[in-house]
Amino acid sequence: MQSMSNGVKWSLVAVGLLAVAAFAADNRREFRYTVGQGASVTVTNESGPVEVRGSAGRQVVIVATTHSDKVEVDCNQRGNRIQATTHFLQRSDGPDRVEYQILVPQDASVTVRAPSGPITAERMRGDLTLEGDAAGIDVRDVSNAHVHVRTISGPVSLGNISNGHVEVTSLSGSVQLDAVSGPKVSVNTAKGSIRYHGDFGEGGDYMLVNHSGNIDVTLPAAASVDLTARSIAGSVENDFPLIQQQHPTSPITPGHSFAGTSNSGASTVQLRSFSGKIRVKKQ
Amino acid sequence: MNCAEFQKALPGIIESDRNAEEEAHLKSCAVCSDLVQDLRCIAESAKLLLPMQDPSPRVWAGIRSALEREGLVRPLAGTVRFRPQGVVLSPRRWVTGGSLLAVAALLLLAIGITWFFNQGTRDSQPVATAGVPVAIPASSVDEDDAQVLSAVQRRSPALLATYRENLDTVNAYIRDARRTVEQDPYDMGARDHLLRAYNQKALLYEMALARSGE
Amino acid sequence: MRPEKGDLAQARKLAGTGLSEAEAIDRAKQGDAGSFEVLYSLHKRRVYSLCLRMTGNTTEAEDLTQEAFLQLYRKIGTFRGESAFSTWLHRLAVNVVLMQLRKKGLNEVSLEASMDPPQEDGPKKDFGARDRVLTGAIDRVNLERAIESLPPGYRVIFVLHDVEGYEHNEIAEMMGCSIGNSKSQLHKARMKLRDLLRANRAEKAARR
Repeated sequence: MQSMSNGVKWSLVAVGLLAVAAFAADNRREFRYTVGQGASVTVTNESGPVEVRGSAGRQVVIVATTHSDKVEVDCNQRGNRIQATTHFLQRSDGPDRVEYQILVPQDASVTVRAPSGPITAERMRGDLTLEGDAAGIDVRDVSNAHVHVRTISGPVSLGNISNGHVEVTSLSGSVQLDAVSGPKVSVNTAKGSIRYHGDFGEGGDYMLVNHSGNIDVTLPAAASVDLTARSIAGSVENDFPLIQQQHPTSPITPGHSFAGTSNSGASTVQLRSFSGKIRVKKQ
Repeated sequence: MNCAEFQKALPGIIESDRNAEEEAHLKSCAVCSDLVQDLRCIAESAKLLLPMQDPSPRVWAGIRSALEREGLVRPLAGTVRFRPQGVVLSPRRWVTGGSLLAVAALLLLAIGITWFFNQGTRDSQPVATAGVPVAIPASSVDEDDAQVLSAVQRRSPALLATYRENLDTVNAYIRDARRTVEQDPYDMGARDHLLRAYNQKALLYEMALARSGE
Repeated sequence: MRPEKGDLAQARKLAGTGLSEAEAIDRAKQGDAGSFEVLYSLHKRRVYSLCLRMTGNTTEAEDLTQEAFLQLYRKIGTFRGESAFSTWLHRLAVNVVLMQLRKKGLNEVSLEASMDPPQEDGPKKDFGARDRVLTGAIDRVNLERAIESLPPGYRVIFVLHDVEGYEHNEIAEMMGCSIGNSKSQLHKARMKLRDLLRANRAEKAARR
């Protein structure tokens, strides 16, 4: 009985040690750097989410949480440039996911490469370059800055972006834009659907193009646009009041294209699909 | 019974027995009789609609990838194997890495752009070879695709299916756009689509390159 | 549900492999790769046409076709032959489409919400002159286009009942509605198609 009791005790100790070891594998590290105006921050993370938020002040704070001792986070600063990279000490089948939460000065430019993501960025006034393969990418509340997003299949969602160049390219990810305006907004997908809700403001050039996904646009009656839509092998539907162009730049084929102006036609909007359906609706 | 009452009851009685009142109205009212005849004509015509279209090859490509990924398939002795459709992983080793991929991507784009401009513009006379695209040797494009997938498989095997599926997607885009431009070399919209399709393929190559660690 | 249309004799043997459908099913249960392809070749057209008619969108239809076959292959071990394989696959495909439509927004296929302006819900108000414009054969292309133009809720019911041959009790079970509701929506779909086809004919006549 006594030996069995000892055996049980040692088993419990062993279990306890294992539990501590497992817990220790979840490792949270924090890096802080002070930067000047116009700093740049680059994050490369093979597996796991990356969240970026703009904040007041001149600090860059990077919090990285790992779940395995086979991955490591390298962070360094060279002048006004911060770099954070996940690298593998050895490849394993176990969890190699690292979660990044990053606070940056609002005017910093940020580049993130995270194939599986997701990637989120908000409250920024500096340029954003976000690249995910299958990662979902979500960007909110950005102004006076350029936003470049590239995915292979990850869905993209942009909200409340203004006064900068916006360029989104995805092969099969869907793209959703809510209140996105600027001097130049360009969205290209192959089969991803494109949805735009907003007023196409700021007298900009807007180009939404895809191969076979649908393009759905909803805009208010007050929108001031010079709009053309064309689907070569698909169809177009328009529910928004437009004054037909007297001399359209391309021939109009009913059911496949339409063109017209609303209010003063301040912004140029081009909707192009190869074989998808284009629908324009009034809000 | 008047027309309003008859037509209100119509959903429930058009395919089933009618009572005497409904039958009497149908016999005596030409408008309702015509309506019923039209609706039956539509229903009968619908029965004759045959399945007419095949899905694009990318559907099978996607299924095949998923079956392999999920381990649902295994070859048995003497059984039919998957016939290679589209990408075949080449046994050729990737020697010079990223530089070759980058060259392939740029070559593809350059050929596309050269062909794009060789089609002429609205204002120019058609070139003697208009409508005949520069032949991009199918084998070299397929081999480059295979190299890209090999690179992704080595570095990020979890993303292989994504890249394979999207290679099919962008190749379909290129094929569609090229076919349309061949039919109408002056269709600026189609040419624009073709250029964008090549750009998207170049993007895919570039991102795959980054995954391969080159 | 009515038997599958098309050339059944040709569908039963796939040239080149010599496998019959039954043989392909047995082999697919054991994970034979080629047999999956045989089954796909035999049934892809019907499944894709169903998905395309129900969604009206080629990209969605392709995605749903892929999903339907993947679900088939995952569950093929449970197929015992109580019904025809094509019937089983067809029902699976319908469920895949309905699930996707529900995910996109229940209102789109809700049979409770009215999709039409109020005047279309009640009986026809115009009981005037005769208007026999749909006698004779309806052009297949025009009918397909008209079906594509239907609101999603109507289109689903019409395709399931009139094109694919499901009964109202089967549709009610699949869609979680009453038989009466299914009949009512089918009627509205047919009325809408009638209007679309009449408008199309009138337009063509005006162009002559």
